[in-house]
Amino acid sequence: MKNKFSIKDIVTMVILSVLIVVLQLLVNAVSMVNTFFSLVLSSGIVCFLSAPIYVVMIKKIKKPFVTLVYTAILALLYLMMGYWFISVYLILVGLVCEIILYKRQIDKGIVMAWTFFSLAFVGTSMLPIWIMWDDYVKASLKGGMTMEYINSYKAYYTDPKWVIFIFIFAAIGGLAGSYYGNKLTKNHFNKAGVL
Amino acid sequence: MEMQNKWEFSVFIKIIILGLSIVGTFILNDIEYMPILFWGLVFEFIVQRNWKILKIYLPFYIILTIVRWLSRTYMFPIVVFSEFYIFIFWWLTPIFMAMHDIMTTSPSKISAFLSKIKTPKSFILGVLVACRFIPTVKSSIKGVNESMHNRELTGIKNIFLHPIRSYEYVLVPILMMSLNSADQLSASAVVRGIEAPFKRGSYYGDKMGLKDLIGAIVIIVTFCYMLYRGRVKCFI
Repeated sequence: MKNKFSIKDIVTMVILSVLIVVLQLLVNAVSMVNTFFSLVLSSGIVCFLSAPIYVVMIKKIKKPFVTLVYTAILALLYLMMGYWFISVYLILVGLVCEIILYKRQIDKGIVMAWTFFSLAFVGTSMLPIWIMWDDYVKASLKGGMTMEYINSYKAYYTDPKWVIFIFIFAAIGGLAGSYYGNKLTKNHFNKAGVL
Repeated sequence: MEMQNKWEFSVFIKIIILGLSIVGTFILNDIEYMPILFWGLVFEFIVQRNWKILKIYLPFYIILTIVRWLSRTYMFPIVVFSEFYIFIFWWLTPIFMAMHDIMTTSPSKISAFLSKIKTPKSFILGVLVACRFIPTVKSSIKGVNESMHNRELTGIKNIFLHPIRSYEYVLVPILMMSLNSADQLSASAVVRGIEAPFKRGSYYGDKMGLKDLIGAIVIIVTFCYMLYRGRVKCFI
């Protein structure tokens, strides 16, 4: 069957997905040092930096469900870290990306799918705060903290202006990253005959 | 052949420990009782003689507990790190420990277990590649960095003046190396009979024994005691 993954496809998919995941975890870990960077900028930067790897992965394998496998790997990692709600969310995002990619011209489809993924990727930073926040507040109040001090942390996610900025920044990061990825593959990988 | 730790739990018990740690962490109502799960896991690692994990997580957890206590009691501002992250790390440490245990299990033991429970071959292959590829990537990134450094392409000045170009200098060789590794690994897997219609085995025995029974009892008792003291969260 033409659409069935070969051993080479599986290995390529896993290797490149692991590369994206490692890059994302690395940037997220570094960004934790600063709250503004972590909550506002990290999603856009991560999506810009990992876009070229995603473009190479899609262009190399040229089969459906590659994005879904990548999001499933990311979801599995989040599940193992205890964030089960992010895992469910990522699988849904992967399915939507597959619908976007379905029967579209490859370059255009990649740009659209990755821009959507970047927009949705903001959810991976927002969801833990929304879901774990109550437990954090309960424990902090019990420990003697004031509500004002506690709330100052999530100010970026409660102010609509900041929320809009975060989503736009992530979408621009994804869009620019996927365009850059397409350019990079033409300049390096197509010329070398790898893709 | 690598040295086998005869006290190490079987993969099945390790998965149960991770599963109960995840469930327990998220359904516990009063999270101040989370240390029960942490100390239960410490006991599990003592049984397994896994000093490596204990050496990492025991000081880590104690430091987090002290920082959390100081910041809550004296409103002591954490300059570098957010208090929320301290809380998240403190809360999720038992899950990280259980995950670390699975991630450092020999890939052949994991693949033998997955094969035993009739997992699709493509999934087993994916797990094996993921387990074995990370150390390869680490060493290649080091190699690329060294050669870029020799050509003065990744100096601080270059990174700040041309960040995208510097990123490209590192990314393109790593991607090329990854694609080459994928070709070699898949060829090697096919030659070694990955497509053969037989069950995968392992040189390393993974039989259940008394240690596994102790592991299962400890995690179940810890899980139940923690929920008894801290109550189950009401989701409705």
